[in-house]
Amino acid sequence: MIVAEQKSLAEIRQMITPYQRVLILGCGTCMTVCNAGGEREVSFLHNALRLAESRSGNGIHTFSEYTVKRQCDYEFLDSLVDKIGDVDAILSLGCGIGVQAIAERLPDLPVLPGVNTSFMGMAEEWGVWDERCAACGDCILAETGGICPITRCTKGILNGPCAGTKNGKCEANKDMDCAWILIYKRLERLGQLDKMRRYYPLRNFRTIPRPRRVASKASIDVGEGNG
Amino acid sequence: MAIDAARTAVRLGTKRVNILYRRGRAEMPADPEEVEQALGEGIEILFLVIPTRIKRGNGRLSVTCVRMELGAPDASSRRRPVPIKDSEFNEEFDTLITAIGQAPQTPGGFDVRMGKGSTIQVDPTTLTTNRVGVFAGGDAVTGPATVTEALAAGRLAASRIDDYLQHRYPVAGKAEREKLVGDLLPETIEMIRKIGRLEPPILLPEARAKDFEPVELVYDWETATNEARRCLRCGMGAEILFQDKCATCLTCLKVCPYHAPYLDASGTIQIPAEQCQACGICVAECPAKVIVLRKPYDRRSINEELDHILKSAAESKSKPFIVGFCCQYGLFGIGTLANLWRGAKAGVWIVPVLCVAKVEAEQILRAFEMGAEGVFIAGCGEQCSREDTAFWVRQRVEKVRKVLAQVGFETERLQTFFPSTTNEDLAPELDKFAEQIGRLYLASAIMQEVKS
Repeated sequence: MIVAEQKSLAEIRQMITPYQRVLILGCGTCMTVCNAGGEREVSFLHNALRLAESRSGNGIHTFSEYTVKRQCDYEFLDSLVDKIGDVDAILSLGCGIGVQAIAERLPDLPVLPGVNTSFMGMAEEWGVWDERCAACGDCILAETGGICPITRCTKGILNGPCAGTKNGKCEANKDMDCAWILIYKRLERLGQLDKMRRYYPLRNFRTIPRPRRVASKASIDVGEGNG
Repeated sequence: MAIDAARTAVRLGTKRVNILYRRGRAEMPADPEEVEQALGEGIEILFLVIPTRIKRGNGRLSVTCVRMELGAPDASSRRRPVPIKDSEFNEEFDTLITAIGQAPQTPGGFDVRMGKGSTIQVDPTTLTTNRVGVFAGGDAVTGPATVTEALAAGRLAASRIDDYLQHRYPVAGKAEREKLVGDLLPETIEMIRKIGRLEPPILLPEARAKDFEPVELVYDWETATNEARRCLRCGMGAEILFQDKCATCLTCLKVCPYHAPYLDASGTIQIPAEQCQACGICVAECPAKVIVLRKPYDRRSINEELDHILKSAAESKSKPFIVGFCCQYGLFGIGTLANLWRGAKAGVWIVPVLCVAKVEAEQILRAFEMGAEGVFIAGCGEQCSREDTAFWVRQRVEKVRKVLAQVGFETERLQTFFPSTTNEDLAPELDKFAEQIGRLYLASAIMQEVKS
């Protein structure tokens, strides 16, 4: 799941300054799950902005709110068309993908990001999320017992642990588990400690050429063959 | 029956009342409290005694009795009394009342078929008697049972009569109905605070044995409130109103103190009605806002109450005004709420909530937006049926305080109060808070003046 954090009220207020009528748009998927932009956060932000307006005494903004199931596909954004007639800008509480999908689908309307998209991760407990995947495009989880050293080791090294490990924790943060100790313990359980003894050649840390594309369909021309 | 007859005799002025009972005290079918009350009224119970012969003489009744001992258990699983040889003795009485059980009395000429123990025979599905158009239920059919069962029979009869009038054979069988409410899970039971049953006060024997006035007095406010709080709120709890909008984020599953919500095999969240204790925490935390309480104290009723007091506060023009979300269970019980009720205290406006865990962050913001200079949330603290109500309230308070700080409000304008003991009086704390808000209001008013 994509995890994000809502921007500060001050930054959001700064962003919306030029626009009078703002639609706060939530996203019913990842942003709902990570408490950054579901229907509750939309209405909370709505209330907070209204309070800020009434407090400042010279508020000019009016707000409306709406939440779609997913902002990252045009089909879900079609229902927006009849909600933006009297809107000057959309404040999206979707992740960066959602914001861009809106920009593409509604080319004449400014769209503002209400959250900072942070990482891909999962819930550690209620209200706490941890990063799990760096989307490096070169997955080695099969070799590391299903624990990602790229994401979870501060240094992202492939032949750990380094000398900074102490009592299973990382020298960079004493509350953080050393990913390589986790990997060792897991491989031990699986009876695969030989994987620890292998040397992994240098990884290519060059900047990934962006934007990337993934296709799950085969490239077959329509009409090819007998159809 | 014997207990009832004996206590009636006492009230009619009888000097000495005895009950002869062939088994022991533990085997008496009467309520233990009633037996206790009867003894308190001076009734003497001769246990393990059975009358065998009654003779009239000298205007009195001479009763021959035999002492008994308890043998092997009988069909009712009570130990069967067996006579002790050569234990006969005589007792003299003026009047003898046979009180060996009760049976329904069906008016003569009613002509319905009767069964064992003078009960009316009915078809178990349609509840019809042998007489066309006549239905029966309650003790008259089942023999002695509870009032609840009699009420249930009445409700059931109503729907069966409806079926009858519409020429329809009943659809729902008894087994199906019984499935409606399941048993509480052990992990749910563990989390429910146990509040023992509170017995109402009873008149002293001297006072109660004189007439037929009720002997049980009514509860006082606090006891009545606490007794009502023992309700498990079956079927009043949370449900997911819009399954299609549920993001299956598992928040409800993580925040529920009672472990009620679960993920079914198809990956859908289910909240079983009988496990839910209607605390409202998931309702206030659900990030998709799709959970509601079945009835009746959900978000909407808090919103309505809040709007009402915000309107009243605005009309009263009293400045500054403070909004308090107060626990309607515990604080009402200890009288705190009554003192604060509806503007009784100048400028303090109360939104009563059935557990402050139901108050949502948006509602706190709304109070500020509509002009409240201070907001407080007062829970019942130690009396609460849950351990973590204060935790959830403080989570939301911190969230709102972040916003307050960013819009230039002092965070002290939002406070929580949770009494640590039942007897702790919140009033002085609240007074201090009101004073503080008054000062902040004055300071900001002066600042406004200076600016303009």
